Formats: sequence, structure tokens, C-alpha cells
Amino acid sequence: MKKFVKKLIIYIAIVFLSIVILFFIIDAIGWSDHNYKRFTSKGQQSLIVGTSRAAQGIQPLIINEKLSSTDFELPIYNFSFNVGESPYGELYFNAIKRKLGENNDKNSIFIVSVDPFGLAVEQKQDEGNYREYGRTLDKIRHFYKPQIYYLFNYCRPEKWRSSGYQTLHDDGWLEINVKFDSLSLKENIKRKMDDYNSHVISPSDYRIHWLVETIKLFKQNGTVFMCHIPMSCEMSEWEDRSWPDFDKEMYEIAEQLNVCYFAFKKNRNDYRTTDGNHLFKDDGAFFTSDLCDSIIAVARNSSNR
Amino acid sequence: MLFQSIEFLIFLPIVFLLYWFVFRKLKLQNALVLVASYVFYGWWDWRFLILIAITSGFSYWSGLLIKSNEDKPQAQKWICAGNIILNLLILFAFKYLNFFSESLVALFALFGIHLDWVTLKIILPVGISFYTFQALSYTIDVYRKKIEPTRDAVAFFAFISFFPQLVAGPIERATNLLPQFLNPRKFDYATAVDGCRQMLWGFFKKVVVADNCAVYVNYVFENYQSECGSTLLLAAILFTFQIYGDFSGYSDIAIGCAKLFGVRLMRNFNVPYFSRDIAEFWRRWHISLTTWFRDYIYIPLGGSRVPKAKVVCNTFIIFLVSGFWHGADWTFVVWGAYHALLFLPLILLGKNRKNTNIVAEGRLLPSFRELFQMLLTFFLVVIGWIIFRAESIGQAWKYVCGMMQFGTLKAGYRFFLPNRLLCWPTNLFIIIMLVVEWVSRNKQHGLGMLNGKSKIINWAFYIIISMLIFWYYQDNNAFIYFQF
Repeated sequence: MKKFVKKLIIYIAIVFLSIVILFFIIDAIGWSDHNYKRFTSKGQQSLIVGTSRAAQGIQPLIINEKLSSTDFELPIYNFSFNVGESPYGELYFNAIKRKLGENNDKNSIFIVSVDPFGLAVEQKQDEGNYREYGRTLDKIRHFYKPQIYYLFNYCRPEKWRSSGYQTLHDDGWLEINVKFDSLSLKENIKRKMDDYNSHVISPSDYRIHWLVETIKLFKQNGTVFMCHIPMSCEMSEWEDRSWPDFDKEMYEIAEQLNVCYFAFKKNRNDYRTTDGNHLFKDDGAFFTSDLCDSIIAVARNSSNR
Repeated sequence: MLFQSIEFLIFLPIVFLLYWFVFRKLKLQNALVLVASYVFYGWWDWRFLILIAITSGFSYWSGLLIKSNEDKPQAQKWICAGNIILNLLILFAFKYLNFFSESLVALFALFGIHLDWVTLKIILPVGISFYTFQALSYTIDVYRKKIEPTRDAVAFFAFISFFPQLVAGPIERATNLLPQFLNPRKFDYATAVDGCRQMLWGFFKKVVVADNCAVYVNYVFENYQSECGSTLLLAAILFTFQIYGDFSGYSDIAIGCAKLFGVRLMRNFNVPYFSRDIAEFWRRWHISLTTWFRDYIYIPLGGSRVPKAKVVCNTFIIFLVSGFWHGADWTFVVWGAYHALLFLPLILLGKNRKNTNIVAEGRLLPSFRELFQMLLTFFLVVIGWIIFRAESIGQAWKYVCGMMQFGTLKAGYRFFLPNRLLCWPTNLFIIIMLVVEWVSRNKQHGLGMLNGKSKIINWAFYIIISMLIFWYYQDNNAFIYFQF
């Protein structure tokens, strides 16, 4: 019996050690899933926050280039996850706070992307039952490298399945490469719309409260720009149905907090999406450039005053 | 509690250590097994423990009543029948009531009569078919005087609820398992090591093979109307390996786990996909259920030693009941009928026991004839699994029709190409499983081939398989057969 227990302990120890070694190798090679980089990258001065729309649609490289002549503290880092992980709330707020670290700069720039889903709860759920709890931002409370806990719990082959068409750049931009023929596009939009149509959302006081808190936090360190990223007509109609006065309410919040709000939703026909919800990467570049132009215009106006 | 859950990973060592180091006396060990089994089952939903307790209690009581009425055969018959009816009523209420009420409503609707029938949304208790059949076998065996009824209630309740095989078998016979709970068990090092190996192999089949296949299978079966013939065929083949990996994997884990407690469970799978005909397949697939039906239904009906018309009838009864045992759905009934049709020619021609030995015994490879027979049997089984897996008969029919359009191989290739990251390991793991099981086909389980091999080879196998299991582990993938 003792021999058996002894051997079993040796076996468990060897397997555990092998797994740890494997994770160190994965970490060194960079084979982990794309979210891993967000938890292991260093603290940042300027940030882009929001859901997957922002993660895919706002490209820090372009912002760094176009705003290089301004006084903003660059480079900017895209710290947006997705609608499941990073809707505005206490968890995301705390993660952002940790990501900013000991930021004492007053010239940082923060782009706060807003959309109805990221500021709502599903009607069937009660307020208090928030979807981001139990996910990575809830579990990972510190950002360092290697993140053995993250690798142990989340680094799995099924996440690699998507790695063929997803790349997370070092600046936090999530590049998506999908087929862009009309048939695939139509199917993608239909699938996404079916998914969204199956949800009934309702505006959340909790999420709006934490959006305000997030903006207030950013304002301590620099300038904040809120934006509503463009989407397809179908998605836009869904948003109008789900939250009719969304832009109006966002304008009000922006005004209260004395920040700028850009509702790019109105320019929806200028940009193509991969699924109705996320900008195609080339159009994301155009959009980021347009966003920079708007920021520069606002910055000039305020400096002229 | 799932075998592949963190909870079980903590639960098993605790029970194991308590069993061998603290509760060393037989009665205490049985009590521990009983409590552990109820915790194991109650982890899912404690309310259904009442059902297990009722089934166990009535069967225990029936056994004693049959014994006390030894001089009254008619009374014994009624007690046995009463117990069977009661157990089947519970099974019917929880598993088949909705199906029959819905079917009745549909039938009346055909004649324009609309019944205002309220369907009860009854939750199916996990493993109800398994422990009910185990309890039935005890009462019938006591009635047939194959086993003495026990007065040890704790041992009996532990026998019915023994956690390794409680929710998905093997369906044990009282003649095999109950005596093991009545006699002291000894720890045997070699048996325990073999148990661990068998569990490891079971986890490999479930986590690495079955769960990986499931990703494709679920996708294709959900979108079968837009997929081409070759893709449908590939998905059907993958499901064939998925269900094998899932169910035989569970059985291996259960048998291996029982060995850790000094209990030997019956073998449930014996390389069924290496069968040369359907009769052989059914001797190797879900052996505990097949032999249960044989012993308690087929043989009492006269088996094959009756006029041919009766043989046909008996064969259909056994396969239809077997199909219906799997679930309250017409797809399972048709699946049973399909296998009955495949089985009938063999039994009518007296060739159903032609292949009783293991294929290519004493040889490394099969002959071309054997290979052809195996492939043909495999293909017939694949067709059956499509019916089994489909949501409805209509879907199964459309799926098979779609699969027969072979002119679209290129499109099928295209489907798999973008997903090559997933696909090649899945295919590789299936091949590894087949090779290991082929090499071990005359052993008790896949890793039986490691017996007598050098320590380095054994440990290399253990570590590689463990790493793969860890790598592909997903917390939420329940076993398919839990629903039965």
C-alpha cells in the first residue's frame, strides 16, 4: 500500500513538473492565446478601453503616428477585451486601474469606446448578476509574466483553433483575418444578428456608474475621448431598437464630465465590417485615422480658446 | 460529480485513503462506500438520492420476502413481479412519461383531435436506467435462486450505488458484485496499478479522443443541410469514435477506479470496432447491457431455440427494447430496429456465433478477408450511429441521403482544411487509440500492453498520456451515456 501511494505521489509530482515546464516553454515561445498578452504586458500611460469592437476597430499604431505631433503621452495601448470580459463595471475598472499603475502623467490620452451591449445587462438577468464575474478579469488580479495561473486555466488547444485568423499585436490591437467575399460576409452578419436578436438588453445603472468612474479616473491623468464605433446598418438598427436614446445619453454623460463624445455610428456606410459588429481591419485603420482627425480638431479648438 | 472534474480529483484520494487507512473493517468500508456514493451522486442533484434509496430499499426488501416465502412459489412470483413493476414504473415516470404523452397528443392530432395535454417537464435522473437494471437483476436472481438474498442492508445499498459504476455502468450482476461487498477485500498492488492505468486510458479516450471529435460532430450535425457528402461521412465516422471514446472511456475509468477499492467490475467493451460481423459487434459493445437483455429477456423468451418466426420476433423485441432503453425517442427505436435487421440474417443462417475469438489471434495484422469484414461491419455501425445521433428520423434520413452524394469530396476537403490545427491532432489521436487497442486487443484494456514492458517505456506512456489529458481537459463535457 505504502509503495503504491509513494509511486502515485512521484507520478503526480512528475506530471505537475512537466506541465509547469511546458508552460514556461509556451510562455517563452509565445504560443498562448491572445488575451494572455494583455495580462503580461507592462503598465501603460495611455489606454483604449471598451469591448471587442474597440479591440479590433481601434489601431494604436495609427494613433501613435497621427498624434505624434501632439502633446499626448504616447504610445497608447489597446486594453479592450470583449463584451463578456470587459463591459464597464467594477472588475474592468480595477483592471484598468492596475494597468495604469503609478501613472502620474497629466498628458495621457484615453479613448473610451461605448456601445449599448457593453453598458447593459440582459433583461432576463437581475442587476447584480454580471457576466464578467468568474472570467479572466475576475480571476487574474495581477499583471506579470509568466502568468502560470492563466496558462494553467485558460491556455488550451481550443483557443488555438482561432489563432489562425487572430493576432494580438504588442500594442493590444486584435487583428482579425477573415474571408471577405460577399457570401461569407452575408453569413457572418446573419449569424451575428441572429445572436444579437436572441438577446434582450436593458440599460444598466451599474454599468453607467462604472463608466463614469472610469472616465473620472482617466481624467486625473489626461484627456478622455468617448466614441461610438461605427457598425453595419443591421447592427445599428438593432442598437436603435434596444436602446433608442443611447447617443443622446452618452452626450449627456460626456457633457457632465466635460469630455468629448464622437458618435461615429452615423457614418456607418463609410466603413465595412466583418460581421456587422466589428470593423474590417483596413476599415478599422480608416476609422482610427478619422478618429485621430476628430481628436486633433478638438485639441486644436481647445488650445485656440 | 463528473469523473473529469476537479471535485472528483479531490474526492477520490480522500475516499481511497479513508477506505484503506481509516475504515479498515469490512462493515466500515461498506458504510464509507455507501456515503461516498451518495455524495458522488448527490453532488449533481441530492433530491434524486431518494429514488436510488427507494429502488435499493424495495429490492432489498423483495429479496428477503422472496426468501421468507420459500415454500410459496406463487407468492415469490408475485413479489418478484411487484418489484419489477415498481422499478419499471419509476423508470417509466422519469424517463418515458413525457415521450408517451407527447406521442399520444401527436397521434390524436393526426385524426384532428387536439388533446389539451399538459406535458410534465420531468428532469431525467442521471443513470436511472443503469441502477434500475442492476436492482432488477438482484431480485430476478434471488427469485431464480442464483443468489442468496443478503440481510446486510449497508452492503446491499453500497452494491446498488457503488459510485464508480453508478451513473453509466457497467450494469453489474448481483452474482458478481454483491459477494464482493459481503467478503473482506484486500489491497493488491498490481491490481491497483492496473486500475490506475485503466483509468488513465479511459481519460485519454474521453478527454482527448471523444471531446475533440465532439467539436466537429456537433458542428456538422447542427449544419448538416449545408454540408457536402464527404463532410457528413467524416462527421459520422468521427461520431462513431466519439461515442466509443466517451462510453468505453467511462467504463475504463469506472472499472479502474473500482480496482483501487479492491472491487472487480465486469468488462463492458472489448474492442467492438474490430468486429467482423454485427453479432460479434454486439458481443463486444456495452457487454453488461447486452448480456443483461440476453439473460433476462431473450433467453426467457426462448432465445434462438424456438421456431424461426419466434426467433425473428425475439430478435426484434430485444433490439427494440435495447434501443428504447437508450432513450425516449423514436430515433433510438429505429436504431434498435436497424440493428435487428442486420442481426437477423446471421441468426437465421446460424452464423451469429461464427466469430467468437478475437480477430487475427496470434498475428500482428489481420488478413485481407478479416480487414474487409471489419470495414464492412464498421460502415454498417456508422450508419446506425447516424440514426442514434440525429435529432429526429427525418434528420437521420436527410443526413444519410446527403452523405451518399459522393461527388463533393473536394468540398469536404475544403471544410477540414481551414481547421487543420484541430483536425490533424484529432485524427492522430483516433489512430493512436486504434493502434493501442489493436495491440492490446487480447488484454483487459488499452494500456494492458504495458504489462512486462520496461519501466522507462511505461513511465513515458503515463506522462505523455497525462499531459495530453491535461492539455485537452474541459470542465464541462459530460459523458453521453449519462442521459440514459
